[in-house]
Amino acid sequence: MSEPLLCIQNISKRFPGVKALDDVSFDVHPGDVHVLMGENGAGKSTLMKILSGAYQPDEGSLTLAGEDVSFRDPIQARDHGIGMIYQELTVLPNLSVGRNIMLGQEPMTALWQVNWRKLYADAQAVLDELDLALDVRAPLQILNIAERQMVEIARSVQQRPRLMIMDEPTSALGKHEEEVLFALIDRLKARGVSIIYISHRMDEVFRLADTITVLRDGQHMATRPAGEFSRESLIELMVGRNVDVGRHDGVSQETGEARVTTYNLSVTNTLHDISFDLHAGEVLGVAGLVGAGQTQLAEVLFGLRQADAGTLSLDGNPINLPSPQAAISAGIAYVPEDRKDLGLVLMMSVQNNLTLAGLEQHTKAGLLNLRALKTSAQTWVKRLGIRTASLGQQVDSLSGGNQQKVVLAKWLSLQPRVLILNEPTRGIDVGAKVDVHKLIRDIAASGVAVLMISSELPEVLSVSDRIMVMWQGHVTGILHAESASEEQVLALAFGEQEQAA
Amino acid sequence: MTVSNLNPSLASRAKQLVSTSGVLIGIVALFIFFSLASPFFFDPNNFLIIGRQTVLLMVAAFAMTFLILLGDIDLSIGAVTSLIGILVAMSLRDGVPLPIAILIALTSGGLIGLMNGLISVKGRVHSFIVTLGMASIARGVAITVTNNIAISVTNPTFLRLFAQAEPLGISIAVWYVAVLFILLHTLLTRSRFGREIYAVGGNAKAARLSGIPADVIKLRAFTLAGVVVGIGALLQTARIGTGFVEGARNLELDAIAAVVLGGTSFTGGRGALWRTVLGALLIGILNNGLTLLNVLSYYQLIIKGGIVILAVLLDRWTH
Repeated sequence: MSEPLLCIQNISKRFPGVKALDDVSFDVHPGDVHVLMGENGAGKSTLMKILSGAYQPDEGSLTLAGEDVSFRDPIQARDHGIGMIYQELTVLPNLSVGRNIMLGQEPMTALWQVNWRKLYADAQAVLDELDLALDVRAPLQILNIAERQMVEIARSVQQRPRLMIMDEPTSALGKHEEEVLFALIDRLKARGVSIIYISHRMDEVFRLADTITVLRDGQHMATRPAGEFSRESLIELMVGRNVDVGRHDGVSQETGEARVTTYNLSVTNTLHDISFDLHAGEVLGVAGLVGAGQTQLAEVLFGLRQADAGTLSLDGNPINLPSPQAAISAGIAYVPEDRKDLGLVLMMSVQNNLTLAGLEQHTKAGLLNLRALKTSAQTWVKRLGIRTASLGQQVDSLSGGNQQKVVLAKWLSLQPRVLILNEPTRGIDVGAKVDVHKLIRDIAASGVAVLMISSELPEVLSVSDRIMVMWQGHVTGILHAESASEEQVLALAFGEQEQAA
Repeated sequence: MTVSNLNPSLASRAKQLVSTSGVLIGIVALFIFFSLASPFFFDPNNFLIIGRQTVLLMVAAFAMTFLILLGDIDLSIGAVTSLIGILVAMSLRDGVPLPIAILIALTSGGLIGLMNGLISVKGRVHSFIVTLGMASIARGVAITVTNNIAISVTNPTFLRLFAQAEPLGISIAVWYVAVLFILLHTLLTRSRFGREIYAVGGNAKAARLSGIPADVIKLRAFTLAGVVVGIGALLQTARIGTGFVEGARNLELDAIAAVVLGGTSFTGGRGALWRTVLGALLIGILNNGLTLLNVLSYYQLIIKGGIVILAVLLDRWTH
């Protein structure tokens, strides 16, 4: 084996409350495509941010071509020959292709002016080298996403990197565009550039990888040549932890009639032929990797986004939801994934947040019935055990768990028939989590149809009656929670078809 | 963000005091200072003068409060007030009946407000830019229709109705503004619309997800603010007895100052109408006192500007 280009040695990184990386070590060899895999939260992004200088490790060291390095910021990492392609594009739409490629590296004339002729010639040279047929003078905004990504890569290549990090670069690309990217990767490889490639797509992993490294819960599980892995062994390594999740106890819900039914619900480029039933009295968990379309589905069901095709029915009747108001009047409630940004008006009081969605029913001739609002808030604070000094307390000052209860109470006070939860326990502590899980079960038991989106597998498995798994905007399977295993769910989340079930 | 209730530090106690009653402290301090510094200040007649001078500012500042609570602003208030004053003066000159002239003032104010709102909401342009443009348009229209010549108002009923009458010895303008305050204050604190304004101003996305049509709320608030500006224009025109291009020059700046001095947050979602009353009073007392002390008007501008900036810094510090 050749000398490694990059040695990652005993890297650890802590964040408040979590150990994101725990003593991770592996090597990356020159000209290798090194795929990094792991579940949501396994530590991939943290590791990449350390390699690109955005984070500094708490412990451990990096050796690049035999030389010890540490990066204070991304610019230092770049100067050492590490290029980074993020999931979100960082090219500037108002500048030309050439200026984007040469950004920050503009050639100057003796008079401190940009040497435009040389700039465009240099940019053209990079495009030629990568065999990309783009006009260097074209403004970036006329290009499509894939072409913009090519420009992004060209910009990185222009800096002559020895190592390129690509974080899910195909997430925005179509099939044909993927092939263009893969060809580009082959050319970079041939020039001896190493590539660390993060991906969730099994097919492309096996198409590209020379070496695969698996991370799980911040720990390094394995680094081996790609040929030594199978799909099954990869998934097992990613899940690994002893799956012994306490299932929700009590009788399995004898669920009622189908309250929400979707048939081939589609949104261009986002959701594809989503069909499922959501029954009264059940918790239907929605699992999948981040960005598999879960939030978009919730938004369609709550009137925030319009479906391009397919039907949505409530109690068997087709229904059209042009706005959240329409969804709310139909009895649908939505607890969004980001409490602080979407769920609460932070500078308002507990009472005013709690009653915000139900103002209409407490209004007479335009005026609010303040006493009724207060009574309602009091009732729900008590019922959910929300810990607050007073109803007038600014909601900002509550703990995460209590804030989430305020959001839940806001909707429960409307007595919804359908409750959509998006990451209901994100960022709240363990004790509050248990409370919220119990609350969700109680809500379902009272006859509400609950759709619960969660990226935490144990949560999905323990709280749901059934589990719907999504992958790239498709439903890849619907499992009974009692009999489902973590491996099965994960296999579906990685796009394996239902045979796994 | 958590404030410890057990043992609040001196700094946090000071912050609390400034944020709840900073403007009151300012008013009392100015009051004492001017009473000692000028023999003419502490005089019931002078207080009536301050009241009369301040009410016009208050009306504009009420309109501004609704918009600032939404995180918006209206920089066209001065120019639009002048323009509406001109429209009223021209109407009365040309023999339009008084009720119709009043209606013209209120609807033109409402329509201009609605237009500001529509462009800002539907075009997704911040109201800062939209109303800056509207200010220029209104001023241009005002100059065009008047050739920059002042139009006197001689209709005695109009003058009496909006300026000269003094029920119980207090200027009728003060009565109008008192009634307007009660109505608008009730709207903000007791009505569904008021609650929705605070929600949209505090977090428009969360408000939308709670079923509040944020765009509609904004349009309503812009229209309402426009009607209030129309009321202000009636009072203003009756008081000076003319409609002319510079009739309410820079009124929006004093209105913003009054809102901010009162302690309403410039970023929206937090504040109250009574705060604006106090902020306007502070400015009124300052203007009156400095004039009584024979401070030149340019120095007054400098002092006022400094105080406004100080108030914003204090707001930052306390939140």
